Amino acid sequence: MKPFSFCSEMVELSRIDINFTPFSFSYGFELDQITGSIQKVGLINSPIIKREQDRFIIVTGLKRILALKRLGWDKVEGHVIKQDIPPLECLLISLYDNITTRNFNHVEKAIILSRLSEYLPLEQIIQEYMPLLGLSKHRPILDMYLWIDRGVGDDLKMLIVREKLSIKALRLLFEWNIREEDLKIYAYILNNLKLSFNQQIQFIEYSYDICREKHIGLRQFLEASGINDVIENASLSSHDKIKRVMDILRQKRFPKLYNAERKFYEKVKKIGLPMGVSISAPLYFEAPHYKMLISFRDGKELRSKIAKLTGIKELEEIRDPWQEQ
Amino acid sequence: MRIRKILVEEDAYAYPLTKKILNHLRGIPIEVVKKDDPRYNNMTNYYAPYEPAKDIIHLMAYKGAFLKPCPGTKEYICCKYQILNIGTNCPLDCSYCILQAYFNQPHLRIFVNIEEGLQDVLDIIDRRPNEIFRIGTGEFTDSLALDPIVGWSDMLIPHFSIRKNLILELKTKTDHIRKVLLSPYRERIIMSWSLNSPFICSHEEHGAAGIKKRLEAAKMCQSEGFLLGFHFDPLVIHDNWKEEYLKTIELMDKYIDPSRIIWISLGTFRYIPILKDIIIKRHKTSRVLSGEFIKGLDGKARYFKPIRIEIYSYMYEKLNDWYSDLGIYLCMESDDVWKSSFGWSPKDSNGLKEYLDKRVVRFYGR
Repeated sequence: MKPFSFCSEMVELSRIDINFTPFSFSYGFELDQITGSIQKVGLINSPIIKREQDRFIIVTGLKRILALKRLGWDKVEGHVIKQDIPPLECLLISLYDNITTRNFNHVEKAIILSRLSEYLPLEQIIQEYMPLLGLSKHRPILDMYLWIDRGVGDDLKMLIVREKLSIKALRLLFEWNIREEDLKIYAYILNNLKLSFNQQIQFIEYSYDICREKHIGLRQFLEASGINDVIENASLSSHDKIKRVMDILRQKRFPKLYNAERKFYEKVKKIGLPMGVSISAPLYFEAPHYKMLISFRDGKELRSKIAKLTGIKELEEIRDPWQEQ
Repeated sequence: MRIRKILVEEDAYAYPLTKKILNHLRGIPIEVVKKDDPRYNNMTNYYAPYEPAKDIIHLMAYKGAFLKPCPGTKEYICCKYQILNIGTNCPLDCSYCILQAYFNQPHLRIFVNIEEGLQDVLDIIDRRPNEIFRIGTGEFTDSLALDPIVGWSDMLIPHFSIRKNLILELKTKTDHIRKVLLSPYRERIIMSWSLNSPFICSHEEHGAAGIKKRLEAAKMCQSEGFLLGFHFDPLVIHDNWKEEYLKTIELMDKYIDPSRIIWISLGTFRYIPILKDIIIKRHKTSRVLSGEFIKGLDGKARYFKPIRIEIYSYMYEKLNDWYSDLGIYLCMESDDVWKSSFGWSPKDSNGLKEYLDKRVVRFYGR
């Protein structure tokens, strides 16, 4: 890349194109902070712009220009690039100008990689630019970021920017080629149900598996399963909604496991264990051994509880639930 | 199978096997590549794992160990099999194949220094004459899918057949048995086929021979004096699975003499998490992900235990109805699943190894 030079020029803001911004990566930003800063100390750094016929294209400084417009300025001193430099170089000027002063959010990284991919081979992007953005040099990761830019709607993008959606959950949506319509539904649900990152992954995975197996759409599943009703139920607290939704999903995705657990814990409940004694099944019943937990204050209490336990004949009935007659 | 290109690493050129393969594939474009060329060393940097290149052969001199223990896990009972590492990846394209996720490069890699490496392997075997080595080439690739091009069977069978403390198992889903049958050796060479239900075979095992063809090939090998092995792995729950698997057992009855089967393994479908992504992306109509999968003790997804027990019990019963001494065993299962499905268990991996080694001795002597 050859060095470029520019001259300072007062430019009417109306001549700067804010709709066509091929060199800007900013996404999901607020203007309040920069507007406040300009009000307080004025414009510290001039935007870099490029003349194109009778208008100017922004190379760096979209947020500054939007803030100036909001503040009612009609002119700005811009650094106008003298040479007719190619788009890739404008893109790199913008990238390196930004990278020294701020962190990019995931959507912005996606925009950068996507724009670079219009001019550079993917191998070069992987080798040079992914590490620059703090990403590992891995083709599937590049693919995901390209998809974020090109295949994800604004509703989901905003969840990403606000860090309300885990990258793992996002990766599932990408890897599994979720339809655009379903992405919108997921965005709606994730906006309305405050799921933890783990629950997000489970929600996506279970609902996807069920729909794939039953050959039904996500919307149809959510309606038929009653999940929609739970989400729309205004009398339920957020916590109760999540609990019910996750329970429905688990029941639908793992009917045999769900029934086995229910059967097992009903049986344990009926046994009438002494206070402070509990019995639990191994996770998914996969490991061979069940566990008993006894809490006690001293040895005397422990002996008493063990004595009570040895008298409970029903303990012999504990076995794998699928072995029940 | 159509080969589009051959990559030859610089130091692979000197090996006779390279010359033999290039001669066989005359006319196919060749690209000479450096050993440390990053494009071919860690392909995931460049290729997403869902973009395999099953039409590119990569000839290389392998620097690692040629004999490796099967990568079992301590949480489940493993048969302590040994893998003879002759190459990686497979020209067949089974939807459920772990190799799609297992290696970080997508080509059909052939280790052209195998003859050199074989000497080390045989030294290891000869140094331990009291041990029985059950060795197979069908774990990281199909044993015979590339045999018409590479001629592995010509190379390996003479060395293995003459030794008394091993068996060599050639496991395949093809009917590429011509070279094997031309060999004069029969002793200690087990011809094995992976089997499944006709439904799974036609929907999931892309590029593989049909069940009937596999069994016809097996029959031919058996009539030529080879012992046979069969592997129902992965068993997959699908619509009418009982009837479907029974069809395969009935076909076995039609073609195969059960008294000359050394073993039959059973294993239900299991997968590491990334394989699910690959199956969804690459095999859109695949049914193998349907069903109740839980996270197993080894971190792999596997069917919920009573489902596994049901399918194993069913297969065990039907196979035993056919013939009661088939050497049926479970691949990577727990002691309690063994007991619930078969009514007995080898207890641990050593027990299973002993059980299978005894069958080797019974069929071949010491």
